[in-house]
Amino acid sequence: MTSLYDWSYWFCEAWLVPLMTPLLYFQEHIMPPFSNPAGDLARWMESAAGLNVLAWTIVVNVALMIGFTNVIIVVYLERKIAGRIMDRRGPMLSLSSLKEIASDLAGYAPEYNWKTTTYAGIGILQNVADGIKFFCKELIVPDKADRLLYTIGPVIFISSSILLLVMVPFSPRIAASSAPLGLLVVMAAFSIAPIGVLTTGWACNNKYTLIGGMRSAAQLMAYEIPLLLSMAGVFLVAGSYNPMDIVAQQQGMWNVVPQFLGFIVFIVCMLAEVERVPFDLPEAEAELVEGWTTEIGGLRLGLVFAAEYIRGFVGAMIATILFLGGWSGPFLPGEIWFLLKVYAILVFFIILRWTVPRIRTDQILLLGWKRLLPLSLINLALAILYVEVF
Amino acid sequence: MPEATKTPGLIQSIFSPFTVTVKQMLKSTFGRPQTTMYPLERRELPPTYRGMNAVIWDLCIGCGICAEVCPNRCLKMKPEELDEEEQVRAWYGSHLAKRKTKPERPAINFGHCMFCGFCEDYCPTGAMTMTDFYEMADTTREGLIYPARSLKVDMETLPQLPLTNYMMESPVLFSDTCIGCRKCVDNCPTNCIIMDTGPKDREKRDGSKHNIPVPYFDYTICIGCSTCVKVCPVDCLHMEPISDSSSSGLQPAKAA
Amino acid sequence: MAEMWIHMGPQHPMTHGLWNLRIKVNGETITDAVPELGYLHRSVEKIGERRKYFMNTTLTDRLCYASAMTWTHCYCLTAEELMGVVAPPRAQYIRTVVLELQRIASHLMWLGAYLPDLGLITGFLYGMRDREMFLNLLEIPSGGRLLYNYVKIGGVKRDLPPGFEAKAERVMQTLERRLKEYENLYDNSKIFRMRNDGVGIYSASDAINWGITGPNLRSAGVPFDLRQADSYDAYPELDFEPATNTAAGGGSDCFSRYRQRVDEMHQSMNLIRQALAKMPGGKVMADSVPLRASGEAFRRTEDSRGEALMYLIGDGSDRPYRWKIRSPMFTTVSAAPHFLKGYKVADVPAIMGSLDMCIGETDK
Repeated sequence: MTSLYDWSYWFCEAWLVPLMTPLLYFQEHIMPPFSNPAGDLARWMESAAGLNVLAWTIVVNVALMIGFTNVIIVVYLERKIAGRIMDRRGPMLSLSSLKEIASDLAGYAPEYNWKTTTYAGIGILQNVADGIKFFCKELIVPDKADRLLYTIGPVIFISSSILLLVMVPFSPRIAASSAPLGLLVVMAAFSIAPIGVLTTGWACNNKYTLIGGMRSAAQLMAYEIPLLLSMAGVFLVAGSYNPMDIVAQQQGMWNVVPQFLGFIVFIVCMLAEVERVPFDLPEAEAELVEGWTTEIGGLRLGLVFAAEYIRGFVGAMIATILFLGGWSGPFLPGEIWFLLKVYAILVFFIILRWTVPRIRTDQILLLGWKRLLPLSLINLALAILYVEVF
Repeated sequence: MPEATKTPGLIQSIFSPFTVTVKQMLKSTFGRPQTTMYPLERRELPPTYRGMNAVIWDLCIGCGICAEVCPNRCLKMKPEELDEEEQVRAWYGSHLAKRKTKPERPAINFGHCMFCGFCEDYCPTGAMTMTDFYEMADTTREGLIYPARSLKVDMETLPQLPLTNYMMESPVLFSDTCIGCRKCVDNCPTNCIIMDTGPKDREKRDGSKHNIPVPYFDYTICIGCSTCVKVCPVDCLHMEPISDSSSSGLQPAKAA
Repeated sequence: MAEMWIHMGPQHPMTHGLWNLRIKVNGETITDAVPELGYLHRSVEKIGERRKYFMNTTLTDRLCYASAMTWTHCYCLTAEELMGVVAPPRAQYIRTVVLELQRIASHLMWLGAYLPDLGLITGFLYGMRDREMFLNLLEIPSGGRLLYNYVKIGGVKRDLPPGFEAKAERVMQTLERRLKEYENLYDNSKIFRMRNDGVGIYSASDAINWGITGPNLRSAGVPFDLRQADSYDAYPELDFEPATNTAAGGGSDCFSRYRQRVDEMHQSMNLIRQALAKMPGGKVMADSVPLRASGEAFRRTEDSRGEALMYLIGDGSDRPYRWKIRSPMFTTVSAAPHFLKGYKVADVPAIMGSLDMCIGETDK
């Protein structure tokens, strides 16, 4: 299998379309004047353009599924690692307790003895339980809030984050996009999020969310520039924005070695972009309850949480592609290496979150403008030097 | 005295927190974390733990001190019927024939109880104890009102505790007012009062003299429950702190 | 943005207890602050007039539930002075040991509550884990883990069981080892120092003027400790020096307050070891404690948070006529607005957390 796109093209051509078109032709046959669109649809699906669209749909869906699965694993990993750092166990709900949950819900009290519970498994069902909980909550719009913007703001945030999952390839074979301007478009999509944050923060008619939204926007703006500058060093050395080219260029030596400074700046700026500790003052519990997501509840909030983790995951993917050699490595297939490197960065992010306290907003901005910006410029200068000399 | 803490260098200050958390993470993953997997395993409790109350009915004398000292007033003495065997074993049973009142036993409303342990501290016979049982959650408020019989425990070997007067007070009689009605004798839980000849003769309404018997107290047995003070119809008894020199034997009633 | 008033309101994850802090904010900087107390007022003083003297120990436990033993002890000392009762020497030594254990537990609770305000939730669990050891230790003589009802008028409830010294020594060695580890996590951590150095500064003379006592005063460099100045129990016979700390540049900042409490934990462990070694034998309760008392008495002790003072008036019956409690946190909260001005909103949890607020004793 050369790539996911080729495989899905073959799948559509050999299995999917031949199964769907007879029904459509039949419909066209029995009701001629009214069902001509059915026949047109079937003919379009058999043509190259239709097959192309169907294949890309499958590719995008597969990429989304892989992305979402990985994000759920990251959430699980975060809670378990956080537990172990704090000398406790983390979530323990898993398949071993399904029987108990079922009998409890059905009301069979005599069988369910609380003294011998089995809620002591590995914890993989906890995310399912949290998701069901989000489903069960009511979607409320606050009284004096701007209804339209309150609904649209989270949608902007969530959709721009999910979009990122299909823009970054997992390997040369499982790639949902291979645009020549690849990573630049990814960074542009990354930067749509502050619009959603500001909109929601203002629309909730709440002083706290307003302050949270303002802080978040200031922080994200301040850290875009060092981020892009540190990436510019890699683009310069690789000669293109396409992730495939960047990884191909790192065959001999990963980019982290000559551009170590750029790697550090990129990691710090990515932490600030996805608003993880130590940069999570916009959603600091100690002062602002939840920041800009205070008034959001229900599935909206669940998707916002998921979107934040998706951004973290995509940030780690970009860091791997740019600096750590992407999917290159001996013995194992490229996908496994890629995921290993991404998870290494994510585990570092998780341990960092539970090790250091928060930085204050003015200190964050000071760090961004006064320390990281010069460092990224120095890194860019060194990269230019490297390209000119070697 | 500690010396001044110096500000650490940049590299050390960025990396040293990780040494603590990563070490703890590895210790908890490959060792055992601190979590007690309740209810599969429970914490070990010391013997002084203040859990649910248990009353040894054979030792209880129904004096009501536990109800008096309860700060939340959730412990009430309720009259209880004792069956034949309990009457035989009870300390209080030997006086039952002479008593006009039914024996009383404590009942607790655990919705108000704060498990302070005063009832256990001030019990003169050691009948009121606190066990290590704490899983008493219930779904209704009424379910937390425990009747007296639900707190009863039996003990194979009864602990030999002497009667101790924790209230540190004892009754004192003003014999001029006493009318000899014997209410104090009938209601004393420890049977420490004896009626005997009064210290002086009293005048009747027609001028003749007669002697009214007055109560004498055995302060070694008195537990300071002040039941006699409460039932006296002429208020001739009051409580006073006991002195350091412990009294022994029967004391004549002192004039107040 | 214009100036606006923000409520760090009664329902808030940061506030340790139930109080309202209204701050006037200009952008991110604070220009004014008004604290509002009274949400947790339970009329302890009035209820105490309805109960007998010995029953009020259950009320004093609940004044500051994080440091219950010290308040009961203050009340018992006051009542003993009122009734003219002296606790036997062994009871005084046991009281000292138990009080210092309680002080360590209270400071660990503070540490566990302070760090999540800064953003480090791991610190909460580390503080609670260490505090568990001390609560288990305090459970052995008294039977309770948070509200002990152990110190009584005239002594203590029961004697320390055999084996207590060995357990206490093990626990203290574990804590010393862990505190040394935590230096890496807190003292030597760049971001912790960034949040704490130079934040919430007040000078020593300001602290004395506003009536701040306890670790908050000693962290400004003033060596005033009631255990030395107005000694009680076994403290006169123990070797004891007040610990002080100052911020770089004089006065007290959040870091010196943090450091002060850690130093006090070490000092308490030293005192416990001395008291356990020197403990005399004998009984643990005075011979006769009267139920009725008359007269006036007041006594002050060194609570975990400062100077606790109690004043009792007895009128000859077995219930107090008037009971007045003075809590150290009440004065500190009243002074807080002065040293909040000029700092950022994000500093409010750090400053108010570093003062070790306990609203239970403030509101009574």
